[in-house]
Amino acid sequence: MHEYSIARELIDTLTDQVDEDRLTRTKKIHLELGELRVISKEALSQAFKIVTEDTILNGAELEFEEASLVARCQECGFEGEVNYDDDLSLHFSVPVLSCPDCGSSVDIVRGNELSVKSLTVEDSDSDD
Amino acid sequence: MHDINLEDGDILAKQKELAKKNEDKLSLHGVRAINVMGAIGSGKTALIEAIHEKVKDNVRLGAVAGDVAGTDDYDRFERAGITAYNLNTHSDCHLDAHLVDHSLENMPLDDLDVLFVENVGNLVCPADFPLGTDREIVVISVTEGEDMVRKHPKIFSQSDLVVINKVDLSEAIGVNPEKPRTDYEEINPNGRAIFTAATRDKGIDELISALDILEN
Repeated sequence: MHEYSIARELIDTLTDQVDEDRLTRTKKIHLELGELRVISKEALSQAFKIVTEDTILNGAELEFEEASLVARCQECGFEGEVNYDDDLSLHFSVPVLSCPDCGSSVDIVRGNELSVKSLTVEDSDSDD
Repeated sequence: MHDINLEDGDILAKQKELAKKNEDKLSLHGVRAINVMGAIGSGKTALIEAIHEKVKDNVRLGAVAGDVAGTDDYDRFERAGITAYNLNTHSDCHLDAHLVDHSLENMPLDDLDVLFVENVGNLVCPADFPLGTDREIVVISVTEGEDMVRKHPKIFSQSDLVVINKVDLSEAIGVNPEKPRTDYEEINPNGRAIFTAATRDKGIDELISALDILEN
């Protein structure tokens, strides 16, 4: 349940960069969540709800956009999606972190994201 | 309603900044650090003890004993003669860069060559928090069953070294250690799995070599 820790980091990120007035009017927080992150969206939403109760962020909801994995081969220059292992009868398919073309090791270009993309904020006279 | 963007939306930016600070501090003192992840009872402490026993005349090992509570692992490190720091998270299920920073402040880094950071026993949460270590390894044991890799695929797909411990017990408990190794190689073809029995001195030399413990 590290989602509570993530929720606290999220609140710090917001309070560091957005003024209280806007945070009070924030209705939605749009997050980008990389495929390689081991985070439960439901648990993070629940943790955020509990941690922000009785604060200026009370009632703001989290919305998630998933970032698919993109890898770059360290040998042949391939960049793109990798293969997925669907044979293991797992609950979800697992990305195979090697080059689909030549089998070499890859660097992760996308898939580790955990960031705030934007906030949806209620309009106010002070925005003018 | 209107949308606003953040200058830096990375939720883990502060953790990454602290991790970089840890990395710089370790590097400044010439200490190589290894983040050891794995379930409770997989043998993380025993492996560090076994490595220490083999290299103690040549390498100055240190260890951060990360646990939710207690000093059990810390006491073992102390008894083995390993320079140790006890790091209790109290409630958190993982270590983070801030906790490791605090540990480094309390350790004699100039007197160390290699630092093991033994994470809280957990195969899910530690994967998302960078600590500033040079290497990450995952330890599992055959007593956890054959399916450990299949049950936690993400942490294994991202770890380039996996230790499969307690292989001396595999026959007695009817678990084939080749199974997790095959599963691991399937999702991480470039990773390396090492069989060990920490308390029987099996595979420890291979692990020392794979972790470059003896390199100056």
